[in-house]
Amino acid sequence: MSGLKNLQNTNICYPEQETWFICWDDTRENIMAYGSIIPTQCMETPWTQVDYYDDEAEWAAILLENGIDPSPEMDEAIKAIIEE
Amino acid sequence: MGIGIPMVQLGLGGGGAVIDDRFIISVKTDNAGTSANNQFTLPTTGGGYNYDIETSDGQTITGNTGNATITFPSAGEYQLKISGSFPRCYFNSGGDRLKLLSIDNFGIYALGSTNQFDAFQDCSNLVITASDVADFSTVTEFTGFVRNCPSLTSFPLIDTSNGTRFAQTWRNCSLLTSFPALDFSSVSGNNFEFFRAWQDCSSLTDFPANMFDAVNTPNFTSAFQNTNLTTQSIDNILVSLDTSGTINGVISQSGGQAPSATGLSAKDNLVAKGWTVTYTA
Repeated sequence: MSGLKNLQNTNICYPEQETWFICWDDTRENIMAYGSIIPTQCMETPWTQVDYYDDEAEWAAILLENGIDPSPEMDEAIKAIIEE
Repeated sequence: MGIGIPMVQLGLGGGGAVIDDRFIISVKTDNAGTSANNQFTLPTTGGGYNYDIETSDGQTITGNTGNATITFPSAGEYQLKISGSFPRCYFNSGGDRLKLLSIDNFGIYALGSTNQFDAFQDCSNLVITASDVADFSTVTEFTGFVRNCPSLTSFPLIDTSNGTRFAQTWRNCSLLTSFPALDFSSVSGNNFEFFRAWQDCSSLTDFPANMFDAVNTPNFTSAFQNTNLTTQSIDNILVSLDTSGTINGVISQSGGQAPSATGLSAKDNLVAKGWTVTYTA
């Protein structure tokens, strides 16, 4: 964690429209966080490698390529864990 | 098995409180469902069941070890009193979920159970009127427990001290306005622990302090999206997460009020610990 102190936070507020984001680690190999921001929100993260998308489908495709299912329910993923 | 002695009289001189150890529910048979309009099917899953049912129209059905379909003389509202071993309902978004009107007493429900996954999911007409202290002390999995139960106006203070996952547990309980001080001290790991737990609880304003002080999970993805939290409540959440010491987490809140300087200070601490925080501003 000590390395994070040297990073400049990414902070965005009040996007004009819902904006989807993906936070990567410095290697851009690992997704550290993802989500969306609406016009009444701010998002702050210590990760500096942040990609933004106007298109949810494009955002979801990147997540899926990296093994993350961003679908709203994720029931099957949770059920698979429970039934392990 | 036969019906045992379900009522326990407490206190001296017969004036004490009466505790009923039966699991008691009310149903409306002619709401939409998979059974006939004068029937109700009590859904189960897995093993561990051996229960008897007394109905408000005088029927007694004994020795049930799986689903039980009760046929009533006519369509209407009835109460079912269940004794014996009944670890879990399993409506799971199907069956006669819309026929369940209320849980009137928890009694023996969930005794010895470890898993309440999707137990009452999509029971859209369900309210909880039970006032007894439910024993969920052995339950570890609460995922989806009352998810999509938009008629629930309150949730009871149950024993969740061994609960390890609450993914989507209260999601879309849109009439919940406040939340009890449940024990989340056993929650750890990074497998959907609080994923969307309170999302779309659009009336939820009051959330207690110190709820996450002892948790060790970073996964609050969309946990408080589309809620109506007060400033004090979102402050409580951010301060408690900061207190927990968990690193590299994700939490999101939308709707409701913005955090105060106290909450924003906790947010700053969280970001310094690797958290990504999305919040009402």
